[in-house]
Amino acid sequence: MADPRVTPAGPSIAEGPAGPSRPGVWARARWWVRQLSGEGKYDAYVAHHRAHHPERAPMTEREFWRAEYARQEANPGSRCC
Amino acid sequence: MLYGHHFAAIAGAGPLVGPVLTAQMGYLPGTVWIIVGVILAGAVQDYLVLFFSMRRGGRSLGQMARDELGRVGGTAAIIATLLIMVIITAILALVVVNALGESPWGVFSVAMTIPIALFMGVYLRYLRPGRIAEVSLIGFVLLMAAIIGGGWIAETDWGAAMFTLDRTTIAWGIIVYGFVAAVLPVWLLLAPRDYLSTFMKIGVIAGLAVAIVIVQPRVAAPAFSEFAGGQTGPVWPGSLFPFLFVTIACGALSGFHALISSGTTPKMVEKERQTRFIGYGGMLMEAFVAVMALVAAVTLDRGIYFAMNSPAALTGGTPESAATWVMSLGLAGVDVSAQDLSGLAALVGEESVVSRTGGAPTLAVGLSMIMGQLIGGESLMGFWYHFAIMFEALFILTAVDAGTRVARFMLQDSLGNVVPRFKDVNWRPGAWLCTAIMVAAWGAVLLMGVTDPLGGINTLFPLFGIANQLLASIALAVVLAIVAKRRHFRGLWIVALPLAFITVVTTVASLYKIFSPIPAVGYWAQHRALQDALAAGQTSFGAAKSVPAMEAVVRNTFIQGTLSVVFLTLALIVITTSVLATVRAFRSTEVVDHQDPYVPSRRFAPAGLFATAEEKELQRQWDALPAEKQPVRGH
Repeated sequence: MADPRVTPAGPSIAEGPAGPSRPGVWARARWWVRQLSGEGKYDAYVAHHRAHHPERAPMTEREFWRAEYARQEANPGSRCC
Repeated sequence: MLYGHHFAAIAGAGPLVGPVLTAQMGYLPGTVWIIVGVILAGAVQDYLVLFFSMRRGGRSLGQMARDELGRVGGTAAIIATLLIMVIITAILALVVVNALGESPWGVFSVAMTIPIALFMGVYLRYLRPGRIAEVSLIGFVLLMAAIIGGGWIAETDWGAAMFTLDRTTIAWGIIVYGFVAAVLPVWLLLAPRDYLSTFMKIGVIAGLAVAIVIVQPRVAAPAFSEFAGGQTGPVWPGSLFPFLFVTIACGALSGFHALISSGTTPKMVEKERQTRFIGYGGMLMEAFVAVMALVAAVTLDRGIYFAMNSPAALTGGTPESAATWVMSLGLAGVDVSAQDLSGLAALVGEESVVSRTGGAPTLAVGLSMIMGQLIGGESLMGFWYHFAIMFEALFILTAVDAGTRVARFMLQDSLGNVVPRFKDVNWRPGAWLCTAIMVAAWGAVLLMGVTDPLGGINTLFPLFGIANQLLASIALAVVLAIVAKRRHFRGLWIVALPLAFITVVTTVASLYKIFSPIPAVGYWAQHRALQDALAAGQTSFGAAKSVPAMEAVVRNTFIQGTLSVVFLTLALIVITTSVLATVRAFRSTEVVDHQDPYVPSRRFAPAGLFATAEEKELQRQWDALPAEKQPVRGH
């Protein structure tokens, strides 16, 4: 059996740009909206992929979100009262 | 950002309902418990569970219990968790049913959230993947249209005929919905609705906070009301100690958070220091929400408050009988007439506001009064009322199907120990069967609450609170064992104090529920009283006006009483094993620690929400380094 303590390196792990890559009000606002809505997950994935696996092309946005929802399907996060 | 994620996962409808119910005792007891409880207990639990789970590779509370407490304690913790999830899901669904019963406007606008979410799901999957902000905005506009449209439709004859449903029908609707939603793919319904409710939550909480500051509503309730000292408040029975402390669970201390704090959130933490801000700070934010809910409830006229929150068995269900009954309570400064109650119902676009128990409608009325004073006055009160109902219903429905899903996985995992096939989460028949079992379990409790002649919320909410707080004591017990095994005896009181307090509270509350001779408080006392009455050939007893109603009370109190006994036994097993582990740790000299080996951080990030000056300086120095010396982000 696999060691349960090994975290699957799912794309949801918060990583990627710590802030807007370019300065400027518009870029900053766009970054905030993307982080707040969860869209930033894809940016984080692409940044991570470029940094660690530059030899392979990253998933397209469509593929990424399919994989992400499949992951959520298999690991339900619970909700509180 | 993770702070937002964690907050979104812990804060739902819970911190909104409990404080509303405790307004029965005046504003002071609830406020004090929320503030003191969150600082000394709730936030401590959230933070420590998050911290230790993080140090253990994100293991769940159940897994940690098995590691630290052994097989017996661990198994008891897992069974308790599963049962508690069933109760919590059922009560949350009951809140929605009570808010939507006989309310065509509410039924229409809440039902519309399903097609809206389906549309958003399809949009995100096939039309424009990843455009979450865009689709949330579209969904929000559609949602507002559904609320406004609900007002028009409820006024037409066919609309009123079609969407005026009784509570049993709505309960069945939610049960069927719960099953379908839990087996549908996540992208189609659950994920898009989550985006909607996050949008609504941020909007409502920020809006209400601003409105309260600007409008400065006057508090109508006294610090301690006439019911603070006694056993027989009409909204919920029982004395201030211990029942206040189980009624306000979320907002002060909630065991359910331990489930969130372990497992999901810790896997996403960047660095250890951030857990303090996320775990402790997230809980403080939740207490803030709870205080606002309390403000909305205590600024309501008290006559209206009691007419709305007391069961129909007491109020009689009509504005006239409710007004007469409230006046007969002899509350200081309360003067409410049938016209006041029907006038309020007309303002918020409902048939009647009498005996709309569950907390959600009261909060919605409070919110609509405060928001109405800010924007739109009386003409917009109906909109604000249904806006608030929608906000709560969205959360609760998300909690219902997410809860069903989590419970299904837990059940599959447990059954998998016997029949290995069940461990395969992609095996359809297994998944469907386990979903059906979980839905049937909470559905049965929900139907019991809806049809309860004594008024379901009033009898079931204490059970919910006790269950939730028992989970908290289980979580704190696990943490206590961990801290003791690390031999950090000086800091042990930080865990031991809230653990001792919540154990005393839940044990006393459970014992009251099991052994109290007062029928309104003790489940078994009620059970025996009704049984005796039936045996004596009576056809009416107290609130139960017929023989079938009396038989229903006998049945319900039997189930509720049995559940109280089971919860108490399970929690005491866990706490005992934890204390034993602590004592063993005292005696031995060995430091036992199941945490993962230390991994030096290879990344740099600020510890709080805003970077301090030193951190900014450090960030500049890091940025100045050549690329190969930059800290690595991620694994």
